[in-house]
Amino acid sequence: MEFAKRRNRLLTILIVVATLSWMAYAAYTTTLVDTRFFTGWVLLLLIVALMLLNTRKKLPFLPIGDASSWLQFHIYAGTFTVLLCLLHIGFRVPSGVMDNILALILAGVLLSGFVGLSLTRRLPPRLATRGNSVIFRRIPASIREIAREVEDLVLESVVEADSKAIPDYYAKQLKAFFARPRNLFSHIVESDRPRRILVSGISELHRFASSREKEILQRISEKVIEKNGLDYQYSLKLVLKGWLFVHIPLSYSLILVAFLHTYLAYYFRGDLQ
Amino acid sequence: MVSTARRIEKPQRWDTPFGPQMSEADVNDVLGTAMFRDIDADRFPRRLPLRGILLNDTRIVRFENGDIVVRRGDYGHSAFLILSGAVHIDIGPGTGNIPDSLLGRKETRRKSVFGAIAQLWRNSKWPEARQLSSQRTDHGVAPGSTADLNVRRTADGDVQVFLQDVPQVLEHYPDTIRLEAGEIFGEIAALGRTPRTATVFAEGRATLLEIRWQGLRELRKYAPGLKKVIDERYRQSSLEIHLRETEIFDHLDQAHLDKVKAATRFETYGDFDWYGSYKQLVDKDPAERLRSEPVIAQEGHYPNGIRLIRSGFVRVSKRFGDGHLTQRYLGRGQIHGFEEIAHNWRTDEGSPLQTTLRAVGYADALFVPTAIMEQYVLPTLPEHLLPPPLRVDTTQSPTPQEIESEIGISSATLEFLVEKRIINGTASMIINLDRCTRCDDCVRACAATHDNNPRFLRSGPQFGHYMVTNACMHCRDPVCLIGCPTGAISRNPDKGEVTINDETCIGCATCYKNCPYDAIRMVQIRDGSGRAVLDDQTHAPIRKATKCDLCADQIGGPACQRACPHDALIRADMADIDVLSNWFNR
Repeated sequence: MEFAKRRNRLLTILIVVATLSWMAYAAYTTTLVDTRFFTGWVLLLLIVALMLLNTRKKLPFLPIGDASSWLQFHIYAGTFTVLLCLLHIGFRVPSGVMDNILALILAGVLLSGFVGLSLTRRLPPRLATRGNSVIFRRIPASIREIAREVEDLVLESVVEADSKAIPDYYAKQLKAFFARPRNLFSHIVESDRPRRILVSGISELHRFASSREKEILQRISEKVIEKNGLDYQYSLKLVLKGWLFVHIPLSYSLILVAFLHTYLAYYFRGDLQ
Repeated sequence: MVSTARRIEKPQRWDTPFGPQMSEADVNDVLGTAMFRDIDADRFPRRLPLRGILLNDTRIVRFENGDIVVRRGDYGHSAFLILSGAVHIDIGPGTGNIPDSLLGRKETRRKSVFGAIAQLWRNSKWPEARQLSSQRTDHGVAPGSTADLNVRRTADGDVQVFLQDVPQVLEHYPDTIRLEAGEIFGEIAALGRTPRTATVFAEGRATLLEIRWQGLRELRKYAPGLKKVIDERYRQSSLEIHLRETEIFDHLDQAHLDKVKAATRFETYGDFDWYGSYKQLVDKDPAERLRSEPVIAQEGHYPNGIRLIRSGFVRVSKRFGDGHLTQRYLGRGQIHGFEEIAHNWRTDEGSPLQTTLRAVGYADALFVPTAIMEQYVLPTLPEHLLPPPLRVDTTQSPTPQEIESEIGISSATLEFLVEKRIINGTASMIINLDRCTRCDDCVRACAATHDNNPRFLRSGPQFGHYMVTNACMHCRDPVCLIGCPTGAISRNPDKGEVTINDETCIGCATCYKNCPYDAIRMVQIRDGSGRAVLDDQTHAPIRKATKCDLCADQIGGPACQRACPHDALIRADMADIDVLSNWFNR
């Protein structure tokens, strides 16, 4: 199915469900029954259902629907929790430490979820624009290999030329660059400035270099570009993996605090005393 | 005056004779047999003498009692002439009587729900761990691992699977045909590179002349008597089935079908060993690759007949600029030339062929002349099977953009799929890099369903923002099957997946070397404690071939596609271009 069609269909379902839920809630409130317990249970069960996405990923061998469908449910049901939460708290700012903590955690989960969704849609096309496609955990090894190659070039310049211009420049400007992934934030915001600075710095040395040194400088410049490409890949892939380290811990915190909140709600109602 | 020797170019394949032990004395003996006695050697060209073909394209193979000569489902690449002794062909119903376990194959059983869930705790923490018996054998197949399998080493050091008790086998599985000296078998599978339809085993000692397909093709070409025998056998056994499987012939009554059968010609183009030369061509200039593809039918020529593709692949292209624009590719069961012939029959316009047909790798085709089509097929063809009238425009060629809007796949993508032979795949793994977040959920899912060992690499050739990964494509022409000594690698006749029986794999790496797509990996195996398993005699690590098996034993089917949360991965049958096009254009 085309993505746009699927999105329209699911959005329509979400709007219909949200509208019906609101109408049902409005009708329920006219009965003067405390709706918070009902909306609270629905919200809790929905949060548990949302958490099952992670469980689904751990059971790839069972025919329980494909991960793509589960993710779509997770996105739209997660969006629905915004309305459900507002209905639960009566569109008021929560009072009390526990309620505020719960609300903040929930907000954090929702926000990180929406940010993560945006990242998973925006970043992958950018990965194809720069740098060689290297599996994330192999990037540091690839960077080390490039660093060794550059060191060899620098040593070659010492042997073949009678000046220390290249080794000095390498020690001051390039060694740190090749030591590990660099300029992560610049790559995330698509700034090419760090690379331009390094390459132009190398270009400036050409004026003081012999013909052999110029060849070496050219090759070092190519290695800067290659390593910069790896940094770009590393930055984006780190973000694509890293956002989950915010979203998932917050989600587990949410479920724990939500159960505690449920317990306290029944306790203070007198059901558990 | 010194006369200079005249150099005659011999086929390059003769640099590696099929049977290095084949001698002139052996050739003399073969020439004395009934099949070769009456062949006129003068009909053979000087660069392909009959003696040369027998010396370089045949070999004498000796079998002991019960030895498996070929297994049903093996991919054919040679025919056999019985020189002495006898063989039995298992003609049991369906896939034959002799069970897979006796042939080196393992029946794949799907796990139960509990068995599937149990993988959570049963999967080994060591990579490539195996449950091994303590004893090793010199042929590499652990005793008792596949209880019914019998394996021995031949005098030449090869591994040979055999049936233990032939009289008992014949008693239990009586549906066999006995062939004796002078009879030939396996020629249809060899010429068409189709799966063997039956298992053949030796009764008593048998000496066979194995003829590789290239030699068989030359013999058929220059020995009319042999050609007649082979073609007649094909007409009787297979041709009608092939024609009936084709929509445009299915409606014919028997009398008309017999006319079509009688007029049909068998054509073979290209090189069955394309997987060897393909790797050399893959990095060459596109024009040079195109020149290497034999032209079957030429754009602009009179459409003298239709070509029904029997096996292999063909490229359909049209002249564009100084080159040729690929419009589509065709595989088994598809037809070229039918639109033009139908158009001319309806309109009397006499339009020429609109496209050029080339063999990609190799192609086997059935040629049905236009006169036969017009006399027997078209007049009775149901209206809905007639193609729409051709829009013939001799002034302009379609542009790449027009091709893309017609079939939904860009010309560059088509070229890539054909050039890299991705069209061979029935379950090619394609990843959309614009949606893939590199989360590796697909790899983890694969590992979870294979004892924590992923069976593919998330890397491979890229075109645009798509990647075809190094995962087994379960090819239409699975060249990996050729030459497996124990039958460990095989194709499921029902579902089509190609799997490796780990227990009978001896790690010879024949399949690994044959695979043109780097989809098979040789892995060093370990025992349950994580220690490397070494050969008792050589102390070398024992290796096994591994690859994607489409999760044949899992209840959910291929885990990789189902595990991708971003709709970035598909296992695509390349013959289904509509599905592929829809996926590309989501």
